[in-house]
Amino acid sequence: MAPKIGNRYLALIFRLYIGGLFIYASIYKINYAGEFAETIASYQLVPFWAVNVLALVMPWTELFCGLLLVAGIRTRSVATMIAAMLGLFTLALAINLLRGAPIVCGCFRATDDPIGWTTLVRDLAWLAMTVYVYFFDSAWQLEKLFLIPLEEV
Amino acid sequence: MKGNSRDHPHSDLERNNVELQHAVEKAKQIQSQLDRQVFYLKTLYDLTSELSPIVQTERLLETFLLMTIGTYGISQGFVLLLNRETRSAQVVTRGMEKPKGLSAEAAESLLYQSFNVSEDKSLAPMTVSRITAPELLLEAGFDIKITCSLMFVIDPSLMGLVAFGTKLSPSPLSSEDEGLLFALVSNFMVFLKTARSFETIQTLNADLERRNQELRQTIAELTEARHTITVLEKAKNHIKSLVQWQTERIGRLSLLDVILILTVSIVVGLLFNISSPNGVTLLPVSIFRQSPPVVTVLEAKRILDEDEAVLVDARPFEFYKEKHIKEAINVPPSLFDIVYMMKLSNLDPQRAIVVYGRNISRHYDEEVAHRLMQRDHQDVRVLTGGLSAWAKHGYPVEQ
Repeated sequence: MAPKIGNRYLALIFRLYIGGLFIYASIYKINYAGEFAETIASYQLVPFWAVNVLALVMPWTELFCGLLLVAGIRTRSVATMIAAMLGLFTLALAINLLRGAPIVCGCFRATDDPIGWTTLVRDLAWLAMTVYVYFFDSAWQLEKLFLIPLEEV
Repeated sequence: MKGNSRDHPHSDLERNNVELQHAVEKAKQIQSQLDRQVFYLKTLYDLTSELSPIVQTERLLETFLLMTIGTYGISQGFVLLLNRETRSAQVVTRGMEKPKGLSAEAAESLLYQSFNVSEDKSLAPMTVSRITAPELLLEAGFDIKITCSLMFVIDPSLMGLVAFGTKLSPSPLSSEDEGLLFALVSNFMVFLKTARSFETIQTLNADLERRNQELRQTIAELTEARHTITVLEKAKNHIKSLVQWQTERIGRLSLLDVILILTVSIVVGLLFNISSPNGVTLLPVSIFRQSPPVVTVLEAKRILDEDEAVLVDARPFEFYKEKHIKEAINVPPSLFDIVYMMKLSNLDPQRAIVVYGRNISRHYDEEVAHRLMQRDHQDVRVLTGGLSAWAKHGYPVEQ
C-alpha cells in the first residue's frame, strides 16, 4: 500500500518512463559492445581488464531491468538496481566533470553530446524518479495478476 | 390233618413244581426283557458315543443311518434333512440310490405331505412322528421298500425324514424296536441341533473373521489416508508459505532477485557476445601479449632532443587535444591505419618511436606500439609513466 503522500499513478508514469528509457538505452549498447567498451574506458574509472566484461553485461542488465520495471515485476528490486546504476553513472559523470575530461556521455550511443552539468542534473532527475517508483509504485503490476491470494491458498 | 397231608405229598410237589416252572419261565422272560433293555440302552449309548464327537451335519446323517440300519439289520434306508433358512436339502442313503434332482422345494413339498399323513401332525420342536402313508416317499423318487418311516422336527426351520427298508431277517420290527428307533431319532435330533448350532457358530465366526479382515483393511486404509492427509497438509503448508514468501518478496527489495537478474544478464550477455558479429574479447588482448620495450622519461627526452626518435601520443584525439607532449603525433588505435598512412608511412623503420598514452581503463600505448611493430618498425618503445611523468619532469607539454 503506497503512502498517502505519493501518487501511485505518477509512480506508474515514472516507472514506464524509466523502464522504457533503459530498454532504449540498452539496445545500441548490446549491438555495439565494442563502442560501449570505449565509452566505459573513456571515463577512466574501470580497470582495463574489466572494461569489456562490463560492456557485455551492463546493457543486458539495463534491458532486463527495463523490461521488468515496465511489466511491474519485482518492482522494488529492479528499481533498486536501476537506482544503483543511475547512481554509478551520476558519480562517474561528476568525477569526470570535475576532472574536465573531454568525453561524451555514452548513455544511449557512442556519439552522444559531451558530458556537462545538465547531463548530471538529468541523471539526478532520473534517479529521483526511480526512488519515487521504489516507494510509491503499486499500480498495474503484472506480477500481482498472477499471484494467488493467500486467502485462496 | 396229618394223614391228609401225607395222602397228597405228591400233588403238592407237583403243584410246587408247576409254580416253580412258572417262576422260572417268568424269570426267563424278565431276563429276556432285561437283556433287551440292556441291548437298547447299549445301542443308545453306542449311538450317543459315535455321534457326540461329530459336528458336521453330513457326517452325522451318515453315521446315524449306518449305525441304525446296522443295529436293526436293515438293508436300505435314507435320511432327508431340510434347512428352510438356507433353502437346502441334504439326503444320505444306504443300500439305495439317491433320488435325482431333489431340490429344496421338492423336499419341502415332500415334508409337507408327510406332515399331513403323520400320526401326531405336530410341528413342535424336537418331536418325532410316524408317517402313516409311506407310499408318498416312493412317489418322490425314493426306491425303497419301507418298513418304518418317521418325520422329525428339530425346530420350524430344520426338519427331516427317516425311512428304513426291510430287515435282513424275516422278523418284523417289534414295538420295542420301534420305541428304540424313536429314542435313537430323538437322540439324533439333539446332535443335529448341536451340529447346526456349531455350523451357525462357524458361519458367524467366518463372518466375524471376514468383518475383522475388512476392519483391518479399513483401518489400514484409514492409516494410509491419514498419512496421505498429513503429507498433503505439509505440502499445503509448504505451498502456502512459498506463496506468502513470494507475496512478501514482491513488496520488498530482495537480494535474490538482484543476484538472479545479474546472473541472467551475465549468461545472456556472454552467449550473445559469442554469436554477435560485433562481439568483443572478454579480456584485453594486450594481457596475453609480450609487453613492448620501455623507455624512461630521461632517455626519451634525450633521444627526442637528438632527433633520433618520433613521439607518438596513442590516446583518443579529445585527450590529445586537451594536453599532449610537445611535437607528439596523435595516433589513436581506433584511427591507426588512416593516421599511420598519413603521418608515419614514410618513416624510416630503423628510427626509434616513443609511444605514450594510457589510463586505468586502456593501455593505448601498448596497442599502438604493437601495431607499429607489426609495420616493421624495429625500435618502438613505450614511455614509462606517460604524459604525467613527462610533465612531472617539467618537460614541455602543449595544451
